[in-house]
Amino acid sequence: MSLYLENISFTYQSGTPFEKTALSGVSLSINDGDFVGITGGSGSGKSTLLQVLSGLLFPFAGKLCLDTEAINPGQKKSLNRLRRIVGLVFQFPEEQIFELQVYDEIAFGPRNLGFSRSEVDERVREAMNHMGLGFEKYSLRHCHSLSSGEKRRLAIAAILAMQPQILLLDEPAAGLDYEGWQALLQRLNYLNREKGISIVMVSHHYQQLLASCPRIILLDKGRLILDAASSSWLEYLDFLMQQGWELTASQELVYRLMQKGWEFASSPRSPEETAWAVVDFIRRSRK
Amino acid sequence: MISLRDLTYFYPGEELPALKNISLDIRENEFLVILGRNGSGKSTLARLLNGLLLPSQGKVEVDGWNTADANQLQLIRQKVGLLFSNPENQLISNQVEEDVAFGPENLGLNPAEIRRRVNDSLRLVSMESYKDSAPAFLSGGQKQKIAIAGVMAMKPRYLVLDEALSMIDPRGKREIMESIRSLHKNEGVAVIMITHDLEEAREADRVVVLEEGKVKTISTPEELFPGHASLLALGLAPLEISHIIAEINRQGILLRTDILDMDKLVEEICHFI
Repeated sequence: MSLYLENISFTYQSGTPFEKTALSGVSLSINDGDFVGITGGSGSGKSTLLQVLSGLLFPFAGKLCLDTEAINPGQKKSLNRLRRIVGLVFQFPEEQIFELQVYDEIAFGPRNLGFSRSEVDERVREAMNHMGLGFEKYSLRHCHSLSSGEKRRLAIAAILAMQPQILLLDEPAAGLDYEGWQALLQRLNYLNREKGISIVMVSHHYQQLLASCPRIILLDKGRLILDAASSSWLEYLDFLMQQGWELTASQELVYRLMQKGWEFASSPRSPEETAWAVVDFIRRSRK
Repeated sequence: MISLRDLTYFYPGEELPALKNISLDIRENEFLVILGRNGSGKSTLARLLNGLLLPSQGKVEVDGWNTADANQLQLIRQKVGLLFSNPENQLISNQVEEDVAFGPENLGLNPAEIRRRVNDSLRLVSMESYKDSAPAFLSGGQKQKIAIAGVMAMKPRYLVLDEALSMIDPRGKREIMESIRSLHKNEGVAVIMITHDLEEAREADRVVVLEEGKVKTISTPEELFPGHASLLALGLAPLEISHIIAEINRQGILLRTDILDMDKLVEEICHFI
């Protein structure tokens, strides 16, 4: 299942003195099995883009399509179709947890869709498993007794119980500690690789996205200015620097060594890859 | 000075304390960073600093006033400004400017002074051009900036930031850190910052690490940050630069491990060629 945006623009409070254009002329496609990171400065349109993708914000100018089918979020049938495919995880999703027990929180969506008790149960078990929340250990726990990282994974499990094919996450790492984020990231990778769920996450934390998402989209003042593989950032390094984009420590190191005449065959995405590239260069230069 | 004496705190109905036997003096003019895993007690500690929560045992004194003394509470809260991570919970007006003015208005300041403080605070967070906007239509990072401006407009003696920069992009974060540093250096405001991001903690005078409600270590960034393995054991993400160094060392090329800045790292690596 692919999701296409064609020339999308969106204006908040349109027609009032306060109107503010949040997106202008954005085109992109989210394809089967994609793992995309969307980044940009505060107010660049990241969250707005996610909300348009999930059918939450409309009307907009431009076209939104699921495969070949045009989606009009103003029409209930069309919107329902989109909502079955796309799951949206808001910023701080755990603040929207309202059930007492973990099981009921996750079962809320499937129950509302009118599934049988056994189908609901199956979906809850599967969603908990996807988010690394063991059924025996967690299903009867009180939601408020969970740690922040667990609460966030619970909130995401509640969305996975709706079995989306595309999962959109807005700042999924905000407020999580290192271990909490690593645990969540590992589950997202699992969903993507093993279950074929497309992941689109928005973050202002470029370093995290570069290391975890194969594809990076960069927004600036509501415009899409880059859509590229994260494993080829050396090719667009000049562009990033022109934009005044903050480089990660890995990028900065590679750039500084290149200025000293080093050559890098590939673009290292993570601290580990950067270290390996440096070691490799040192070893080769000694031979 | 904010002085914590044998502070223990239990949330109602909980058997285990969220904080246990904490004794700590936060000096005037200090830049203190508090690190630790989620659930280690950092946010609870922040809420005890201005009497939002009261100690179950022990006491908290702000410039000699006990937070448990209801008569002093309003004065204490003027001195200790507290900011949380989710700005949604902290904005109350439907106009940015009004939101920032809310605190100073409640202090009963005259209109000219309120105006000055609102303008200054919005300038500190680079949000002057949004003064007429509705907070509801701002981005997460912009909302955080407005919340920060609102607290700065109160001119607190102690500024407590509980992951208050978590949603601001790197450039915005650097700008706000500069504003906070200048408040700290030029106006002597003490900064108490809770964060997961060691980048934000680089210039701290002291770093307190909490673990399971207790003070695990008190040190300086220079002492704490290079210890890659010990940081991981405390559940903390090392600086990216330390991560690179640790991995290079693991590959058998032994760089100095106490390096925290890029110039030095480049220099060190070039020794090996």
